[in-house]
Amino acid sequence: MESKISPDGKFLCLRCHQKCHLTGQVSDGKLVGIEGATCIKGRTIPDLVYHPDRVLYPQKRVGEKGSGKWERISWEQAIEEIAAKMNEVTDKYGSETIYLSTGSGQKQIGNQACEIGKKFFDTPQTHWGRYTCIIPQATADFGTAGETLAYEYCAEYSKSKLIMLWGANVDLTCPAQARDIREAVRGGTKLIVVDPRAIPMAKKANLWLKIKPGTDTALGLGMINVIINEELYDKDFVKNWTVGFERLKAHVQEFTPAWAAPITDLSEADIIAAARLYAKTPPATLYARTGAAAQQINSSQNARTMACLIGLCGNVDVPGGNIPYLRTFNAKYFYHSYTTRMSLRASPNKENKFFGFGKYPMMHMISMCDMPTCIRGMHDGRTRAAWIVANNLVVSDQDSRMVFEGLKKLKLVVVSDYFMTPTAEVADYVLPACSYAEIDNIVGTFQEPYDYAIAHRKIIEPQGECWDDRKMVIEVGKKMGRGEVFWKDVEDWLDWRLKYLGKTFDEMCNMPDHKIDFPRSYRRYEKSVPGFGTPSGKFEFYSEILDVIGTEPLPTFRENPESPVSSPEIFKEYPFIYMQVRLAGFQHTEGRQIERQRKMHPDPILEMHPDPAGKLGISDGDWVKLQIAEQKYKDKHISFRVKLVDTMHPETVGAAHGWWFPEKPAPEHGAFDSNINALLSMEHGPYEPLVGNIQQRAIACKVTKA
Amino acid sequence: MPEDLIDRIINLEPKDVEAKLPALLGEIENNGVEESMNEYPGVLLQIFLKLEESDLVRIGVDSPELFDRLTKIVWEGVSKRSEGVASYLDEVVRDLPRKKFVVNFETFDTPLKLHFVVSDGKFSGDVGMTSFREQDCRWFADTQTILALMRGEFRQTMLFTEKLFFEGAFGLLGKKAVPLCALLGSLLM
Repeated sequence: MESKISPDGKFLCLRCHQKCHLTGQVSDGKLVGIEGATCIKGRTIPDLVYHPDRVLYPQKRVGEKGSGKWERISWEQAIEEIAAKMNEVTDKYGSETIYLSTGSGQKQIGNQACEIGKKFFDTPQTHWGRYTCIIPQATADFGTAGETLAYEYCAEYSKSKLIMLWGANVDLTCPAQARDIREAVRGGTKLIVVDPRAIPMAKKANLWLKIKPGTDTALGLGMINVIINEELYDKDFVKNWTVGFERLKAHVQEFTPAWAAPITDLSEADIIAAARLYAKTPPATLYARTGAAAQQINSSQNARTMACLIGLCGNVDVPGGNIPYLRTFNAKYFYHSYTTRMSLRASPNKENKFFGFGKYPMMHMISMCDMPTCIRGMHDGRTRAAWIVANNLVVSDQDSRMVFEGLKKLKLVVVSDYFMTPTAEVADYVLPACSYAEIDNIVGTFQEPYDYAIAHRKIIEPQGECWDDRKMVIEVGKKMGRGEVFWKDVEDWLDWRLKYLGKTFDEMCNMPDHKIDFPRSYRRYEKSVPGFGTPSGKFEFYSEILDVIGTEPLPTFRENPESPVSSPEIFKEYPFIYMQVRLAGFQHTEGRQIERQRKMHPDPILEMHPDPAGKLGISDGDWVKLQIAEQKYKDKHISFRVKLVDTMHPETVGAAHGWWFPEKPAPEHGAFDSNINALLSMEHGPYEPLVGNIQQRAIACKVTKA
Repeated sequence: MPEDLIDRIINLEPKDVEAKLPALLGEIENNGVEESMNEYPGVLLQIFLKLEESDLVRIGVDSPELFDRLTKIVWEGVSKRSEGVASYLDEVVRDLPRKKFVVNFETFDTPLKLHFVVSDGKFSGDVGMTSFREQDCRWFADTQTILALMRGEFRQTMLFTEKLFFEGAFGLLGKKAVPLCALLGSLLM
């Protein structure tokens, strides 16, 4: 079906999770500006759309992989050849050797493209890059409450009496959310910030817990100890809606604030104060992000601890508390793009070849394959083809060199993206992708005071020969000629997502504000059967699912694989703890080639305290080398320009992830120069027990002047 | 029909199931499915349990027609018996726009495929699966687990221990299928 142009220019920014409402200023068919409250990422959408380096035509590799020799081809040729090669891989090696990948770029569109591909290509090997992001939290929350609690939830900051930000630098990651929090704080809402750095919100906080990286579970257990022993918990909720309280109570007796204080580098008094403030200020909302609940081998335990805090204090599904987000959409049978992931599967005799089958059952439940297996598979033949949608995998996944070399070994690599990235450089085909302004879409989102799904049509025609990522997959799938045509085009897919609402995409676009509202209700566990989607039907402090999986059913602290306690010999040579920080203006690996964004951060920065820097002869602005103890890359280093920050923990250094340099020579484009993933090895553990990631932060490192 | 049908099923050696099941199913068909279920309460359930004791995968692979035949018998019996629970079935589909709920079953290890439909106060089913666009939910697992589901045994932890998955509109509709499987199990009694 030929898509129409939106008559009102309204669309959603998908450059981060916030999904800000924007209106494109369109003149003579050209996007000349953006209206609406948004950050630099939203403002620079026109810069992205009309960037001179944007990939505008399908390209086929004509030289060696990575040689940079490309030939422009037609879409007809691209579809024909890719379909033939996908069939060849399927016939020779099995469709389960095809890996579908997306990252945060073309957010939600890439997700949808992968889910469509899962059906057309009949492979279970999909990944959204999220095992280093929300997934430890999502699985921990699922094991506790049967749904998400502390991440993709409906924040009602204006109704919260207390907000607890735990490893979440919202001013940089979700500015719109930060605006709401600041407004609430101005209105009297109390704020606790848990972060090793003096992030902007720390300065507004009633209590800032300057925690040592990687010790979040210890803090949480210390708080639970206080809340239980001082009987500050919500007795009604605990009695009527939870299981495992007595086991949790017994479990935490040894984890006193005095126990947690030296582990976390916090004072006992601060831990007690945090516990009392959180418990005595209902309704409270706890928002946690990757700083605490991802990228570590303890991530799911950190998240479990937070979930238990939320449950103990009865902040579950109450106004101003932690409101399960997807429940709203599920209850109305709306296919949120996240829930399609759990709904669409390959055929059974392919699903049982899922990477991580049997080992990571919760990952299988949410349909995200084990990435270490997938990447090792590029070298040993278990992975034969990759279709990568807006995912700069070489930069964003661990063991960058192994990914880079692995992609070169595959029979077929298809990349759809806006720009030539280090990942695209080793592809066989690079396909030009539409931007957010050039597609039709439905987005499920949350805002106060209610949730909704919003539909929008493209506001401008695609540049060059750019296609919607979903269309690429559908057209190749149809050309492959294997079995069922699940969706005939993008509009058919969008109609399918609305099938239980009895509407079509076109009808939704013609509704007022293109929107379907989902009025918010609370304490839904009181009305539903069962109350929670857990084996017991209750909120589980003792998680039966985690028990049967064979991991700790009660929140448990483990020392990081590298810490002054677990590996003192490593810390003699590598005396700093590396942590990851976020940068305003960039979403992960994106935006480095957009001038207005790059101006904010032209160089990769390493934040460190002036005292240790001074002892090493390092001044503000100096370039330094950073090395870690990983044997595989012990002779390698990454480089940063130092920014001295006197509020940093002296034993900690922090750098942003995702650095690569479009201006540096192809094919690597500096992918290994300032990227922690270039120093990490995926080949050995320890691995996070629920989701399988390796430790990516809270790692021992040393810093020397370049 | 011999009086000892259930005893004969219970006493059947697992190794003899494949050879003797056709005759047992023939007896049920000849006697009439509904009549057999009334005369020998739990007869179909006993067949399920006996199959689960046997080399199920080999039987499923070697003699898929046996599963199909059993499936047809099951749905004939269940369909008749479900008339007594019409109001409950109406309740199940009340909030669905189509007022209909379609569940497909598929296995990893054998060709077994079947589906059931709840609509107009009836519980019906057949061999094979409906199309992807028609289905609301698809369960897939090993054959042993699928048979256990059909006789009403479901625990959420099976999703993690039995490598069982459901697919459909989303998890909510998977959950909607759970009490229907329990009902199916009770109707087999």
